[in-house]
Amino acid sequence: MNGIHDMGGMDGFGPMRPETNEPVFHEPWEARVFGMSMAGAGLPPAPIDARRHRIERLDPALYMASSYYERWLVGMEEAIVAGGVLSREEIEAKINEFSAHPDLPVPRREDPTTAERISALIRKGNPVTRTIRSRPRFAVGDRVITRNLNPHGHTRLPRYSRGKRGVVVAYHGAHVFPDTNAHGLGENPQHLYTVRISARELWGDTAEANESVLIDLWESYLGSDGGEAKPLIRAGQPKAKSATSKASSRSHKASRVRSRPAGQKSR
Amino acid sequence: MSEQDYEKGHHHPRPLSPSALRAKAIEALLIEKGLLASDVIDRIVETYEKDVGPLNGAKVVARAWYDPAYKSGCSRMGRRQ
Repeated sequence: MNGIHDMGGMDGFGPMRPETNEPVFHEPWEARVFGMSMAGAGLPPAPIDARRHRIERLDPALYMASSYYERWLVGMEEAIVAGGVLSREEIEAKINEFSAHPDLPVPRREDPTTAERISALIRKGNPVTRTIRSRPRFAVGDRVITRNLNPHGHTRLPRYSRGKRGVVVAYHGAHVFPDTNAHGLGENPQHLYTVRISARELWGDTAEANESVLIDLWESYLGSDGGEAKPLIRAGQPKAKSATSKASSRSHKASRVRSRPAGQKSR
Repeated sequence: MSEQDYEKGHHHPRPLSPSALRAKAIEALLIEKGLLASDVIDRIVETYEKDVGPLNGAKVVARAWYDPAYKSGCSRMGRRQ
């Protein structure tokens, strides 16, 4: 979905301030929310794609005003209420109780067998790689063009990367397809590639010439853009072999702008 | 981490933030109803705080930069996958 979460390319959020020795959790409640969510919070544990989509669907104003784990908390509560595990009234009543009696502790219940099993599962990992019969359509070095897909549901194709030309730089085997897995519509594994898209292809002529973005993209996000790329593609170079007339006309337009004399601004 | 963390309020009278309060309420309800166990949450948190996470990968990459034997070992393991 073209939601508030898909912020790539937006400005105005202020400087990035990396934290030295950032803790995994900043507040104890964040750790509890994380643990509860991962354990399913009274529901069968949802795949990561479904949990991500839960957060994408939050009210946009709430999303913007919330911290990372506040979004987890709201997403978890929505799922718990929708799944009939707890009612909104019960939650509010318990909040009022703890508000009125801050010294009341959270009750404890132990289940060492499940705790051990879950801990082992996490350490083992939960791979999303699968074996499929179809052969990969692309190979490392192939030129591709991302499709202009705008699904209403979950997708891993960021908005800023749609309809862009890039080069396959790695192949990762077949992986569960998040666009269907997020909605309980099956794993439908597809071949997964890392695609390099130049900064100029994404952000235009004022972007840095030698920068690029690497994005992991599923095969159905991609179309062919004229076979194998030259070993080194200079960003900003007009690409002569265009697979589609649309891409071709855009390429001409771009080169026309670039060919203006230096100092003259295009309008 | 355990419920003791919530009890810091004993000695520091700072009230819980709305999110902390909401998280505490949901955890209490899930445990009261027998839908979740406290030590399951503890173990998940502990595993992510101590054992898994992106820092492990960063350490592998950093060591591979200066230790060629380690690097080739990593490559072999990667191919076996």
